[in-house]
Amino acid sequence: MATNNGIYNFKVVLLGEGCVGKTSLVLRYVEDKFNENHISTVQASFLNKKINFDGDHVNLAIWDTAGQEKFHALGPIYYRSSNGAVLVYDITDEDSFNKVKNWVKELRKMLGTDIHLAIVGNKIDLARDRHVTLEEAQVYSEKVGAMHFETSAKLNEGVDELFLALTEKMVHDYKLKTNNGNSHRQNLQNAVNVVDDETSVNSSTGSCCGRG
Amino acid sequence: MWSQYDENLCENPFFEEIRNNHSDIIRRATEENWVVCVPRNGALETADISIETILDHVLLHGAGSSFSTLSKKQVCVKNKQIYFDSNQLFSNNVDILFEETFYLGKTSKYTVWCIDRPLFLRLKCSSHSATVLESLHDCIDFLWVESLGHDILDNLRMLVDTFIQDHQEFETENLQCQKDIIGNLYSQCLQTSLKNKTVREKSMKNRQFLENLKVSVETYMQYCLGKKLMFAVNTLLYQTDAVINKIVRNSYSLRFKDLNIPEKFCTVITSAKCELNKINNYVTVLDKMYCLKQVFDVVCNAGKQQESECVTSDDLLQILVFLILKLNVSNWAANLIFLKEFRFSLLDNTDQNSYCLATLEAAIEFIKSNQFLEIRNLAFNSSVCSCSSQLSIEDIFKQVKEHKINFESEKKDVTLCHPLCACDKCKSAIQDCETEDFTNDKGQNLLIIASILGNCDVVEILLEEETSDVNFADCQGKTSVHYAAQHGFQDILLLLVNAGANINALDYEKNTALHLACNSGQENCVKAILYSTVDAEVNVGNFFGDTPLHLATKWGYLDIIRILLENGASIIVRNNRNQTVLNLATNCYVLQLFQSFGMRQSATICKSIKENNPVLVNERRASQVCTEHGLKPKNLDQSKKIDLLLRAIESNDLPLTCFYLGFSCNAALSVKRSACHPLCDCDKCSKDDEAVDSTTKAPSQIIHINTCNAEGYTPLHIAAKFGRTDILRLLLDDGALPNTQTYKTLYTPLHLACFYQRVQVVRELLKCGSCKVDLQDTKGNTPLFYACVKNDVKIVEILLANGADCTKKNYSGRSPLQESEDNLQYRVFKLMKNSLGCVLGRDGGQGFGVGAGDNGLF
Ligand SMILES: Nc1nc2c(ncn2[C@@H]2O[C@H](COP(=O)(O)OP(=O)(O)OP(=O)(O)O)[C@@H](O)[C@H]2O)c(=O)[nH]1
Ligand SMILES: [Mg+2]
Ligand SMILES: [Zn+2]
Ligand SMILES: [Zn+2]
Repeated sequence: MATNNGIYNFKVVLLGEGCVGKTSLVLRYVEDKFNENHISTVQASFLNKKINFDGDHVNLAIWDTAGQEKFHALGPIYYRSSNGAVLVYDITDEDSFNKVKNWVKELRKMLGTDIHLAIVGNKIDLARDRHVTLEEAQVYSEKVGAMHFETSAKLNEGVDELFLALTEKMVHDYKLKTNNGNSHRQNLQNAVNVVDDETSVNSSTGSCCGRG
Repeated sequence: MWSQYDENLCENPFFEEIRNNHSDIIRRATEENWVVCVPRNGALETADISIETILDHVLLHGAGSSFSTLSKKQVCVKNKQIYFDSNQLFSNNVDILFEETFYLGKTSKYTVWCIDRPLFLRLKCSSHSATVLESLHDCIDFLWVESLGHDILDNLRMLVDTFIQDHQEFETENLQCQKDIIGNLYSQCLQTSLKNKTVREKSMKNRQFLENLKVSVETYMQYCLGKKLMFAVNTLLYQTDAVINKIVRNSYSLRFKDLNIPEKFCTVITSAKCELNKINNYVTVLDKMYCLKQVFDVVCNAGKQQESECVTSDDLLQILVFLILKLNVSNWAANLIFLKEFRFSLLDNTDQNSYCLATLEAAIEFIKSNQFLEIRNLAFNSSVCSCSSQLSIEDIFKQVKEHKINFESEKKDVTLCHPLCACDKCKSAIQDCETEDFTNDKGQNLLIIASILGNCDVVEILLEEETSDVNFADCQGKTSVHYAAQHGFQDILLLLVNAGANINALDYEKNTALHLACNSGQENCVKAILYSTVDAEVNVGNFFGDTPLHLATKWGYLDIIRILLENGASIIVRNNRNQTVLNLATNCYVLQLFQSFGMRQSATICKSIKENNPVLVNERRASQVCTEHGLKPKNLDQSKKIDLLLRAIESNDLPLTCFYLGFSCNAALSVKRSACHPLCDCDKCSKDDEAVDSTTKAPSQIIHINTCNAEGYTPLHIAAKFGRTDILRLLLDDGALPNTQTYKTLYTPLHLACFYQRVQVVRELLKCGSCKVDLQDTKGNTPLFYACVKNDVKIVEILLANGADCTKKNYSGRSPLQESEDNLQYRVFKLMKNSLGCVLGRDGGQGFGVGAGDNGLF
């Protein structure tokens, strides 16, 4: 088995209209839980998931964002510096799909192509009530450069695949950007490195923060 | 939530052994959903890895939370811990540090739990459990234990001490600069610690160790820097924080339900508040962060107690908003920046810390947003008018304006849901009742409600009707003045003051209107109180001993602090916790202000404190009954102008003085006007102004001859004090009133002339005829008294010739006569005795022995 081990830390935000099943999805994925009348665990707002494939150790921090309309303006505080976004709609609700389109616009505007998007139609167990067709969603997703999935948090369908595929994409992209495996750890601001032979420490305070 | 611990399991020898030599186990784990437990790196010696230990660590799902191992032992999992029976002395539960899912392809996967110690431990514990540093204490322990001594701690302390000496002015740098400086210090600290051989070797070998070292070094460094660092960040963000504080202080009426927070969290608010309130007890990022996390934990545990409930980002955000509103923390923006920008050691944005921080940031942003303003106003209005079946407030106020409510009608005993209520019952009552007797459930009458809601027109009408008691207090002891000041309604405040409201009224927490204005950052009302009233108490303490200046300092309202200081606020008064404002100053600019005023003030401070002495205050009030003061300036512009005018007089600049007074229309200026009130700027009043002054210059440039400055000094006072006789004559000719008294000290121009020994001035003043010779100042001293103190024979003579009474005692019981006698001032004493004899002689010559010292002394 390949052991070219890299450690990756990625932040993924969940966005979408109220009640489409964001919280259900993440809880299904991380805790393997589902509850009919709203959720059943402790904290759904911030969850951690570690996965390992091909020897790559990936740390996913999944942020369930504040969904109420009055908090909309605070969105950037939550989604900035994310590596991926899961944009959820309810396949039985056309409006929720339109909401997703707005999110795509906002994210592209604020974060450009730095962020990987996964558009997710949830509640496929209610397919007889479907109002958003698979084709329509797929065509749209391709157009905006996003992945597309359909899931059921209730029946645990497609959830694992969704997060795995998104993660693979993020890892792949990251490796491309950093000339393959040179850095085992992500380079982050304020990094302090210890060099082998000497006790020289090289500290670089991030220069990105010109506020004040 | 998993712990912070992280390792790459592919490098773990135990796990490597399983993957390389027991692929059958891995295969079965994928197929049958087994869980593989892996003791964290270093918890198990390589020599102890055997097939038995491996079988002990593969778990098969049983019923519920129970599992059995491949070696057929029973374990059970609860709260991220594995419990097992152990015949050993060791504790029988082991922490699960994290869970990791291993994929073998797109669909086949198995689960690994990284655990803190091996299960069923039969061996010596090879090393203590995975160190997760959560507090300063942990960090000091870590540095101490790992370096086998306190060398590192001592060295860091020394580095920081030198740093502090070299960077005295550090506070006023900008953020990037501060970050660079501190980041630099951190690098030095880290280098110093890595000089230690043991520490260096461990850091090379173990990534987790290096991370921990970084955190410890940084935390200990911040601890050594102490409050200096936070003080610098406070200074950086003082404006933002003052804005936030003003919003928060003005949101007191917001309740739990106004923010839509689910009922279930009601119970945790108190303990969450307790936790978060500690945030300023800590000086390190790590401790502050821990404090924040505790709050989140408390909230999340509340969700846990009720099954089938979960805590969402919305919940957390709203609860945090609520907590910030209810806490007495004055530097949220600074705390946020400190946590975000001064953390050099912990690097990734994927830990829970960054989520907590984002939530805090979102909460702060939300409080500053317009949405919040709307929620607040809604809550505010509904808190004033709690009855559902009322007419809208606007309608009622319209009624008041149209005088539909009959103020004169007969008195009856009715209680309404609300003074403005219009349910059928109330409606009929309202028709035949006296409105001013209505009070709502908070004991507030119509005047108070209008003052709370800022309805100036209604206040004006109510005051005109003169049916409402302007000093009426509600169930918290607050009067209309309190509310107008608290909510920043300057116009209403001025109306109330003009209608004779007691500006020093105390509510049940002993707050004056000035306290409330200072607490809620209402600069306009602070100005109104200090500039438009004569006797506003500046240095009184409330129930907690806080003066208005304490409150303004606590919340960092720099402009208000400055105004208070300019108006005699003292910086040495202590509150009940024995703090002066210097102890409360959280940033550099406030401190600088105190320092600069402190110099100027030190002389007057003692005096101002004495004036708080209730006995003296009472005397002052008593004497005030017949006191005349100068006209107050009409607006800020005028109050600035009056200062300029007084300065012109002081420097004997006759032309400039004439310019300010618009001296070509002497007659017009002395016409007495009846303004709504001295500060009024309504159309009518400003028209009056124009009519009077249009003969000369633009009306705004002209200052009335009897206008006074903040201390009550009129032009005549200044002319008298500095002996500007020409100007004085001019002023008197043009209608300057000779008997006006200053505010606190109650000096007349004559007092000043005597004290500063301006003989010419004394003559001129007394020549004008209407000048009263024996007015007393706050201490009860007459002008003659000062003339005696100065031993000025000339002036004493003039005063006596004008009927000054040399036996009039001041409030300490001493008369001018006694004073001169005790001071052996022969000539003055003689003059007075003669005048006395002459008076007595006129009266009939009885009781000649007033001057007892007569015999002995002269
Ligand atoms: N039938 C079906 N119901 C689902 C599915 N996923 C979620 N639900 C239900 O949809 C409702 C909303 O789910 P949540 O996960 O709370 O939705 P959310 O997007 O987090 O909602 P907000 O937190 O309000 O933004 C719940 O009643 C879930 O039981 C699904 O896949 N199928
Ligand atoms: Mg949700
Ligand atoms: Zn009613
Ligand atoms: Zn007027």
